[in-house]
Amino acid sequence: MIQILLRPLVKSVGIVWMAATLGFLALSVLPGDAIASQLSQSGADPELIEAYRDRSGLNAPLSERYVRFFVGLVRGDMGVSLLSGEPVSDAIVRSRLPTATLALSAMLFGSAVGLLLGMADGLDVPLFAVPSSVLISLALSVPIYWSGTLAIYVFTAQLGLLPSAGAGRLSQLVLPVLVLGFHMAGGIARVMRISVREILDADYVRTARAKGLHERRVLLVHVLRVALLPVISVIALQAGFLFSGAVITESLFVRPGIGRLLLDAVIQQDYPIVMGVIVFSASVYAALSLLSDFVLRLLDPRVAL
Amino acid sequence: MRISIGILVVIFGIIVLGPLFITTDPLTTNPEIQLQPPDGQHPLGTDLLGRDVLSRVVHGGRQSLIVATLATLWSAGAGLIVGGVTGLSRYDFDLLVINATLAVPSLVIALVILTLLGRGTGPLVIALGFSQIAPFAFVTRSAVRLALAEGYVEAAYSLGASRFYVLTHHIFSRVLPTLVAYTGVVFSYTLLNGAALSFLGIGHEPGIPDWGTMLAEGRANFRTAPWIGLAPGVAITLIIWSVNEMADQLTSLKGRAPGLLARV
Amino acid sequence: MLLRNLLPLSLIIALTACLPVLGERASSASDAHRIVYGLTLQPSGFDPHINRSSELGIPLRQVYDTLVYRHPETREIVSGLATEWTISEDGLVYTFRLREGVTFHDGTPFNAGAVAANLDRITAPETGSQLAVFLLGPYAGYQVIDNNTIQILLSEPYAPLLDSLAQVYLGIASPTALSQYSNNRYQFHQVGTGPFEFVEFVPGDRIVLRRNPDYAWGPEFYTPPTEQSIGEIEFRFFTDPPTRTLALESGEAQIMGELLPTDARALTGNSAIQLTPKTIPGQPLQFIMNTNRFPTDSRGVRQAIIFGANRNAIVDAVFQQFSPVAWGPLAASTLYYDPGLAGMYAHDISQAQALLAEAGFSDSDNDGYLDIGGAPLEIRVIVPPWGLIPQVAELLQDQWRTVGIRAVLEPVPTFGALLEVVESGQYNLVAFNTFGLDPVFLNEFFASDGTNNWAGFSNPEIDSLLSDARQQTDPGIRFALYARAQRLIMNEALILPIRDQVNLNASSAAITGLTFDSYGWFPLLNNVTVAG
Repeated sequence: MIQILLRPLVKSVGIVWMAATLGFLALSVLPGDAIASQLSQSGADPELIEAYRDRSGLNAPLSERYVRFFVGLVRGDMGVSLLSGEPVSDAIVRSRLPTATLALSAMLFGSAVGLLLGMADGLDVPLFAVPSSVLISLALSVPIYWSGTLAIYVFTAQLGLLPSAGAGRLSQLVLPVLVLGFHMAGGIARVMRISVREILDADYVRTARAKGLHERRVLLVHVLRVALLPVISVIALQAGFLFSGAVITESLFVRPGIGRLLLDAVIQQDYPIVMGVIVFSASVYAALSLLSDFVLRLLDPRVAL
Repeated sequence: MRISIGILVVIFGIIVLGPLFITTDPLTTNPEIQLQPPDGQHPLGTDLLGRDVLSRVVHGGRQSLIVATLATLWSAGAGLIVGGVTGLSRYDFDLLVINATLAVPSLVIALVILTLLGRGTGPLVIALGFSQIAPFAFVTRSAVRLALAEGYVEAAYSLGASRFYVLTHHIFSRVLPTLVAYTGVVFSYTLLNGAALSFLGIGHEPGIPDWGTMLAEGRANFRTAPWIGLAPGVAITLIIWSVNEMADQLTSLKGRAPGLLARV
Repeated sequence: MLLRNLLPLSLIIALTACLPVLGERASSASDAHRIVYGLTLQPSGFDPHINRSSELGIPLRQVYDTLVYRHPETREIVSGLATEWTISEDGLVYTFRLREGVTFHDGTPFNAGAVAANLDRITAPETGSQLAVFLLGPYAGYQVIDNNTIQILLSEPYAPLLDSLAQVYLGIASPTALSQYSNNRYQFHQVGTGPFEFVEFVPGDRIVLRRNPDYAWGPEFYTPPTEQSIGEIEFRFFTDPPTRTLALESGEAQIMGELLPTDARALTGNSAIQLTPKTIPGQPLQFIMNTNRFPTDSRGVRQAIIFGANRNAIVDAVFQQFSPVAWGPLAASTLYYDPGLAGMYAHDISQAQALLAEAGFSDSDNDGYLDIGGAPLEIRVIVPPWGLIPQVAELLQDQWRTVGIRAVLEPVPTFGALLEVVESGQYNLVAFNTFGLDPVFLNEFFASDGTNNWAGFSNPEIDSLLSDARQQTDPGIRFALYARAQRLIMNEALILPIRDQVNLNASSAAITGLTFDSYGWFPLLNNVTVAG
């Protein structure tokens, strides 16, 4: 049993380590940094800027910084923000909640809606199939910043029903979840639809029908169970999409989450924070992959990974 | 299917041929007529600097589509090679690298590349394409692995065929429909991501109109001048919808290993 | 069976996830004396002694008193925590008599020792101050004379010292709190003497202040609190411009800064929201020209560039007439601004063309752009993304096209990237502006040894004017010096000034008494009242 668990775990750790290394190397080639920027604006002269940077350890050779970073990472210390001095782990912890709330709610909402739409379209349910198909197409094609702006325009500017900014109250969660969830639903619905259609044509379904099994039983027992398999792995991979969606959604709806933290840090060249977010998102991605692999294996032992 | 091809042809036609017919310069500013609603002279109104929106949508479309097409081609090419090679290899380490690249937020990747290479269409194409190589390689690799597991491949090997022969004659034809369909998906992503980068203020080159900046401007002015953001938004939606439709139709037509798209 | 229940379960989840909490209107100001103030930038750090963003000054101006203040109307230096002061003959010793009976929010008494502790902190290298220490100029230490008297010592005369001491970055913090918290943690537990107490700072989310009931030592322009005064303020961040007007209209915020000009224009008829534009002294938005690179190495070309720019059109279209056109290196509200510069290089296409022809340019290949000896008349313009600069640049690009100048716009995503390009020297024009009431920042940009001398210009007369003005305390003489410097800078056409920065503030109709201090950015919330 332990062997079965160990391999994927090692794989996950490997992913995080490699992502962090790639990120570290990439950031190290970027010119400038937050400290130099801020000080230049105050009119400090170059020697003084170098002194500040020395103190922050920015001038140490690359290998030294790399080792220092990873040693710290293992101990849970990701350094401090170049600008505010706030520990990076603190920054990530406080930004986690708004993003997590948004992501989980959007994932739940999106999965539920996506499954329903995919089923309705795939099974060709009368009356629902066509609108489902249209909704799925819209969810996949409309750019999220456009639909988000539209949602704000309708619900906040015109109808005054829902707030468009901030986090912490349930009402502030509604619009972002609706928008982000809707787009997630599109991806899930499409896969669900394809899966369902594919299974419906399969031989063993025809066999079951020929045997005279009740239609509903056929559907529920055979079709849906198998159709769900690829959908589950899609839901996991959608985490990647969720993250970039979160960056935009958090910008649009002014939520102080990880996406916004990343965007601001990148623009202000606060690289310790950028590294922290990379490590965090890589970990989440690895964890979700792990989870989906397990669930898949549980549901269908035939699947060899 | 016919509808989607039709829409694509119309849109591409407008963008390619449009500049011949639309003589209004997208770059000429005329601040006195700023933020005008659509009228006879300006069928889609004017923007903050008094430029004609219709002309900018058409020219901007060219920019956005060229970037998306080039990025797709280069990411598909590289992704195919990487995916094919790793699919054939016996090891799993390469999957680790692919997964790691998938784990780094594409925003960071794009920004790093853009900062290193400077601004402009070239760097943008490289950055956008790069962020899609990993997913493409992943899909290719899975497809190749799956195809490898099929019985007839074993048979071919036992008959003495080389790996290369197997790859080109058996696997490629089976994998192709999925990949063609996925190329469509990549195209949608790069179009959206390119516009998103401009929208976030990172990828755009001032002086050349593009849909992302127009969407951002539309957003800043959506209460006083909603027409600015409407046209590019609708255009992007239509294009992506058509491409997705075509991709879907392709998979159900060929019917081979469609479940693979599920891993996408 | 799991799956049999999945369908209704997913339906339930979908429905519950959709339930909008109707009726919960976005109004956090349920208490009439509590307001929400919209900040526009996430400051990357909140310590006034360490960080430099002007955004942090907006809340913290209410938390800290400074030794001196500037009267918001007369702009005179008036007493604050110091009741009187004298400057020695040689300008090197400033003696401050401190106010008695003042206590910090944590009960610590205010005295010379407290001021000393603050100066120690600001000047300590480990603190890593990004602005405050530079404001102190040629600081050489202090001397505590007695419990209520302290001297600040300089190594050379420095006229802007009192101006610096009036700024929130040199606000006086409680020495107890300073010693209790490390440099990184203090920003979350700030203690001053001001009219509002610091309650909490949640990075990325909010800052909360509460009125200090014991406050009795405000400067002369602070009115005593009434029933209608603000009791509590919550500052929230609205970094995305379109969300600002929305927040005001929906009641999510009662005061908001930096509205987009088009939004502000659209609000002019609205009776529920009042606009309070405030000019910010300092450098106007301008393009600094590189005198070391073709073609801006020629003065005639530089002048043509300015003549060819239609700045009125820019102010109309991009800034909706909320900003005045700038004519020189100082905004009109800056100290020692020379109004005689107004109208210099006003838009004149024929003048521009004449100057270019004189410099030898002509359109020899008929492509609509001028050239000389095979080299095209092309200027490289560095365009940062803030402050609507990209729109200004695009408008200018088109205006210059009429004159025959080809402008290549080069966007830079961050200030760091801007510095990179500037250091490489590969630019003709770079857009920038900085803020401040005292024009001593001119030294950074136009003195030959200035750290940000992006014009690459070296002129001994400007150098001596600027260094004299830095030390000269007599305002009359300083004005003469700066006036001459401004005129020289414009004669040499070192910059293309565009517009004075104007902060478009707006507040709900229930708010009265909203004024800003002379530095422009910082509201004086002590005097603000809320109706109802």
